[in-house]
Amino acid sequence: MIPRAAIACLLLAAALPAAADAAPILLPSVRAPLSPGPPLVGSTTAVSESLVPLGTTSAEEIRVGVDATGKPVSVVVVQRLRLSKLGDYTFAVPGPIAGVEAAPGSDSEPGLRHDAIVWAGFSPGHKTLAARVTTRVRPAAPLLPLRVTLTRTSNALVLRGENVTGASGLVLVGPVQAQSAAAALDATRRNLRAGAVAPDLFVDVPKSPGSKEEQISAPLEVRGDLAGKRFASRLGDGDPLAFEVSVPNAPPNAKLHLTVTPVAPERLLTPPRGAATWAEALRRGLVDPATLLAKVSLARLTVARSLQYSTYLANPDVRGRSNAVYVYRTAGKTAAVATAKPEDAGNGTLRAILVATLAVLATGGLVVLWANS
Amino acid sequence: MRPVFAAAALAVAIVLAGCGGSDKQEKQLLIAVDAPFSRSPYIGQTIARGVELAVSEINQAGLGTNDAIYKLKVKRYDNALSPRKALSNVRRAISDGAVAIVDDGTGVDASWEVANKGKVPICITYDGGNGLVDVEQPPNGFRVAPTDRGISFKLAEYTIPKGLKLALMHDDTTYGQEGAAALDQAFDGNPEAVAVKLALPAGATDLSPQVLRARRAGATALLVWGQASTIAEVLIAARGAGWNVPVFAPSSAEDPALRQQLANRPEWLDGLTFATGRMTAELGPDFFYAFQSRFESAYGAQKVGVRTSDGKPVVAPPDYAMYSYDCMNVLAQAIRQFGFDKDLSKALEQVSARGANGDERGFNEHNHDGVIDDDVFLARFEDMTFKPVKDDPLSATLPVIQQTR
Repeated sequence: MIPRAAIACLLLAAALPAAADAAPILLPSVRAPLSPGPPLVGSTTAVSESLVPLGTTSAEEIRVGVDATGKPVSVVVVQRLRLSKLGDYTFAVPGPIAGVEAAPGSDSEPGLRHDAIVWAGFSPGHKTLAARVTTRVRPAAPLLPLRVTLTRTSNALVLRGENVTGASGLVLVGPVQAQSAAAALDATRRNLRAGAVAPDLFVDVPKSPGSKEEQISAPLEVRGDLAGKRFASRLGDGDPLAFEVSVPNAPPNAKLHLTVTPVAPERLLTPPRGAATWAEALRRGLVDPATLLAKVSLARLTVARSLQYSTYLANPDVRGRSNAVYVYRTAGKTAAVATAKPEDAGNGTLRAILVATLAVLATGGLVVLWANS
Repeated sequence: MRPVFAAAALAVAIVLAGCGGSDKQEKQLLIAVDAPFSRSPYIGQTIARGVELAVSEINQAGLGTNDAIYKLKVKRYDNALSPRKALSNVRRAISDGAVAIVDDGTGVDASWEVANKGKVPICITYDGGNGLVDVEQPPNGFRVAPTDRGISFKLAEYTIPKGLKLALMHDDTTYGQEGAAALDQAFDGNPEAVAVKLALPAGATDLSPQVLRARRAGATALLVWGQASTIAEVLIAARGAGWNVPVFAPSSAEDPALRQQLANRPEWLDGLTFATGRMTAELGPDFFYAFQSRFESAYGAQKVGVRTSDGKPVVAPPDYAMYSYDCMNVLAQAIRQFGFDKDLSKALEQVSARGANGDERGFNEHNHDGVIDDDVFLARFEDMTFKPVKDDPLSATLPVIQQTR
């Protein structure tokens, strides 16, 4: 699914008169999520209104228990929301939530409704809302950033990790006023630390740009330990999207521990051949101006994708800072996979089925009667 | 062929009518109010009027689901503060067909099981006792009122940093004993802040010996958890002895009976600080004033029976009426959203409604208390009315509610 923001960019671009002088177009926002991807959602109507103090930050540790094949059997999230404003708050954090309890250090107790954690109260200026959230694995696992596969060959245990954050995004292509694109690349790089509050950026184009569909992946930094063998890898941002580690003669109860962190696409945003800035690279002729619109567009979509994976559970303040670390561990025992409660099959549904069946039979009978008359 | 065609059309029309649903039936739902109308008329009336005001508004707006349109009807049951009477009331209410019971809290620890068997939720809108509401047991127990836990922790949080040594006094009513238990928990980690713990006989007309004992134990402040008359007697004993000690109390200090008892010596009430649930949300006092205005249009102002020094009659804000009003609105929202396909107690866990003070009011699967502990604030009496204190973060943000006419 193509995000609305990207469609808006394209419509804006398409609206430009073809032969006009350079006109500004909005580049993809670093807050534009691609689908599928986090944050988790649920079928909730938990609160009818939200009151979220601005500047609320979210720090998450997503604890993924994997079985002997690497398949997730449990996904538990510890989310710490930090409120730094005086005032009331009421909001829900949605997701396929099976259970929640306060995590150590929480100043308040989380509430639970169907598919939502509910927080409400008063912040005296600073408040930590920490929750340990058990998710239902089936809907939660597909939105994890790394697919882990463990296999045994005749004499080795082989781990394969694959960055599965890729989603289809529309990259703008076409001529662009090169200085404005270089400046946008430099600004995007400079604003990486600002995260989701980074400002929107424009570039000047002489005519409506085109677009091409590309897979946008969040770069991942992976550190791990398999049966005592340590390794580190970066997946994406120019590096391969998968890695493999083999441990010869690994014991049958070998443990896996992996830490996966979504990171910014630094390589994508680093100017070529030692130039300090993209503006300098352009001046020195180190970059092809024809590729700049695609470069800046791709870089911003990738930043957005990385930020998207920094909120596995949503930060109720969409512009608030968020970070997430995903920790994969061999589960001690296979956790029972929580399943959604079956919805009550109400009398209404049963009645509708009966009426429909009778209608079909009655209509069929009448048609036969009519045909024979 | 034509009659057959007509028959076919008729059959299709009948089938379509079946698919489209039939006319909604109008059904009446009974809401029972179990409260101490004879023994504590102020509490009883407050609870019942909050419910009745909400019901009249809900009926006027219409309460419909896919299957039916409901009209709510309220019936009062007097428990006279007797748990046995309360239990019998709940049995009667269920046999009368009540779908929900709004209760002051008297006897709920016994009556919830009876109500639960009938799948009838009980909503407590006065008593904040810790054991009364729990998600596990009673599963059908809900509360929209400040909890004793919230009030006791707010009082501890406020008094301990001031370096006060408190005499923790409670009367021997159920309310007082539940308060004492909550205070024990709140001060558990700070025993140095407690000079002495004293039980007071409710209804006693002279508490001088107990107040003297507190003074001799080195108390520099009194925290009195009891009925309004008990708080009044402590103030009379302390001030009568010339002891200008700070006095703290729970929300029972709001009861007009306290001010009526001190009507001849209003200065003795000045400075009494009590903890209760906030009446206004961050959105400001407009929502509460609008509710108060509707309440007073229906029932008149709740006159306290005393005047300020400049002769203005004092009225009590209908804050506890607000709780039973909110409880009804959450109940109506649960019916609207889930009808009666789902156990009403389970449905109540999933919905919110806008409260009379503008805040969201609701319950969830982990918490059946609709007034969260964060919503407890501190107010101080001055000239027969009270104002939020300025040295507590929440209280300092709250406006003063108009209490004179």
